[in-house]
Amino acid sequence: MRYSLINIVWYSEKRKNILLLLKEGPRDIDRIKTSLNETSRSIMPQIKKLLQKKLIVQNGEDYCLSEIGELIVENIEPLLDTMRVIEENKDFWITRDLDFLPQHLFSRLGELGHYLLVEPDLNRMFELPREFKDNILKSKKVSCFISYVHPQAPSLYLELADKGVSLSLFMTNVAFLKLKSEYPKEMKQILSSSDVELFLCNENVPLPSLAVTGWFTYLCFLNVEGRYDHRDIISFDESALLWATELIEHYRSKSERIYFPYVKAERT
Amino acid sequence: METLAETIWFSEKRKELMFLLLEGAKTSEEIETKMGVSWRSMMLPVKELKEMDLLVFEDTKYKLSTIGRLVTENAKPVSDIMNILDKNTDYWASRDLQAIPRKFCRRLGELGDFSLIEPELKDMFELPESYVASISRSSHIMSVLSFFHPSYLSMFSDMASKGIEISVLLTESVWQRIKEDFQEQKGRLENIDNAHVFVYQHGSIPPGIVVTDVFLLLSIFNKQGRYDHRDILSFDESALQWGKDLFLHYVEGSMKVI
Repeated sequence: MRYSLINIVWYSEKRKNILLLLKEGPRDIDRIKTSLNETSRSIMPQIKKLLQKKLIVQNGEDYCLSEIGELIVENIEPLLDTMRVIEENKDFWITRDLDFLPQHLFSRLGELGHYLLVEPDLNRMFELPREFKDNILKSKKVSCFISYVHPQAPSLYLELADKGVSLSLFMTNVAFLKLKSEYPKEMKQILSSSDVELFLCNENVPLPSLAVTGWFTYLCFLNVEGRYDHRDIISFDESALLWATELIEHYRSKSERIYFPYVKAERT
Repeated sequence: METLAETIWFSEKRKELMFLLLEGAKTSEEIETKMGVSWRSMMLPVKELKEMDLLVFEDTKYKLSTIGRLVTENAKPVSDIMNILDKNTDYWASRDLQAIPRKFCRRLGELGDFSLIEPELKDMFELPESYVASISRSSHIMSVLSFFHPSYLSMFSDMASKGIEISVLLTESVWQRIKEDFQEQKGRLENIDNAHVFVYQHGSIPPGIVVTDVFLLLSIFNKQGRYDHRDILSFDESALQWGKDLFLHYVEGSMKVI
C-alpha cells in the first residue's frame, strides 16, 4: 500500500521522532536506537517506511534526511512548536486576547519556545514578579513596552538607569502621562540618564507589558475580557528573543522618539 | 482525541473544515456547499473541534477560535507541502532543490494544484501547448531564462511590442549567446519601453521561471544539473505569488542591461 505523507509523518510518533532526530545530523542505527530508546525490532520497520517514502537516505552505516525530508521537517517544526506552546497551558492561551499582534508574529507564536507561565501568589499580586525582577537586574540591555503602569516600575527603571543599563522604553501616551504625573521625580531622573531612550506610541495597544533583554523575554497579555490577570510568560529561548525584538521593532515604527526639553532646560 | 496533532491529522473532515474556515467565518450552509457534503456528516467533526476549543459558533456562523486559527495557520503549509510532494514523489526526489533558495523551497506547498508537464519525444523542442495558450492571456510576464530557447526571445519581443510588460532575467552565458547570435532580437527589445532585461550576477544557475498574472511555469533541473524537459504548471493564486517573489529575489542579485 502506498502511504500518504500525512500518514507517514503523523500516524507514528516513532517515524516523526526519527525525522526530528536526523534533522540534527546523520546517525547510525545504534545512535538512533539509543536516542529514541527503541530496539532494532521496533525501529527498523519505521526506518524502512521512511526510506521507501524517500524522506531519509542511507549513506553507508548512517541514515540522514533527504532534501524532501528536510523540507518536511522544516515545515512541521513550526507547527509542532505552536502545538506544544498551546498544549502546555491550553486554558491560558484559550483565554488570551492575541488579536492585536501583527499577523506575521501571531502565526509565529510557537517561537516563544520553552516558556514558563508565571502566576504570582495572591499575597504578592502587587509586587513585580520575582522571575522578572531578578532577571532584569542582571541584564545589560533592556527594551520595554508598557501600556499599563505597575507601581514598582518607576523605581525599577531608575535602578536600571543608575546601573548604566541601556534602556529603551516604549510606552503609550496614556501610560506616559500617568507616569509623569504620579512619579514626576523618578521620571525626571530616569529620563536625564544618557542610557535611556523613550518612545511614545500613538496607538492604544492592548499589550500590558513586554520586556526583552539580551537573554530573556517577559510578556504580559490581556485576557479575552480585556483584563490583566497577572499571568505572565517568561522565556529564555533564542527564538523568543527574536520574536519579541520584532514585536518591539513593530512598535518602534509606530512611535516617536521623545527628547526632554524640561530636562535639558534645567541642565542649562 | 487527546492532542492537537490528532485533532488535525486523524480526520480528513476536521482538517478540511479548519482550512476552509481559515478563509473566514462560514454558515452551516456555506460549509455544506464548499465541502460538498451534507451537514449531517459535518456534525461530529464540528462537535469535536468545539470540544478542543478550536472552533466557535457566533452569530449564525462557525469560525476558528484564536488558538484554532494559530494552529491552522501553521498546519496549512504542512498539509500543502505534503500534498505537493505526495504528488509525483519521484519527480521531487530527483530535483536539485539546492538551486532554489531555502526560504522558497520551504514554501513549495504554495505551488498548489499543479500539473507536471512531460512532452512527448517528438515535441521536445516545442513550447508546451497549455503554456502558449495561457501566455497570450497574460498582461505581464516575468521570466528567468536559465537556458537558451530560441522561441522565447522572439515570443517575448512580439508580446512586448503589443504593450505587455515583460521582465526577463538571464544568466551571463545566455546573455553572451544573445549578444553574439541574436543581435536583431536584442535590438528590438532595446527599443521597447515595457521590456526589461536583467543579467544574474551569481555563479549558481536559477531554475527556469515564467510567471504571469495567469500562470506559473517552473523548470527545476534534476540532481545531475540537467534540464529534463519536465515542467511544473500551476494556475493557483499562491503559486503566482511564489513565482513572483522568487523572480524578484533573483532580480535583487542582478544587473539591469535593457
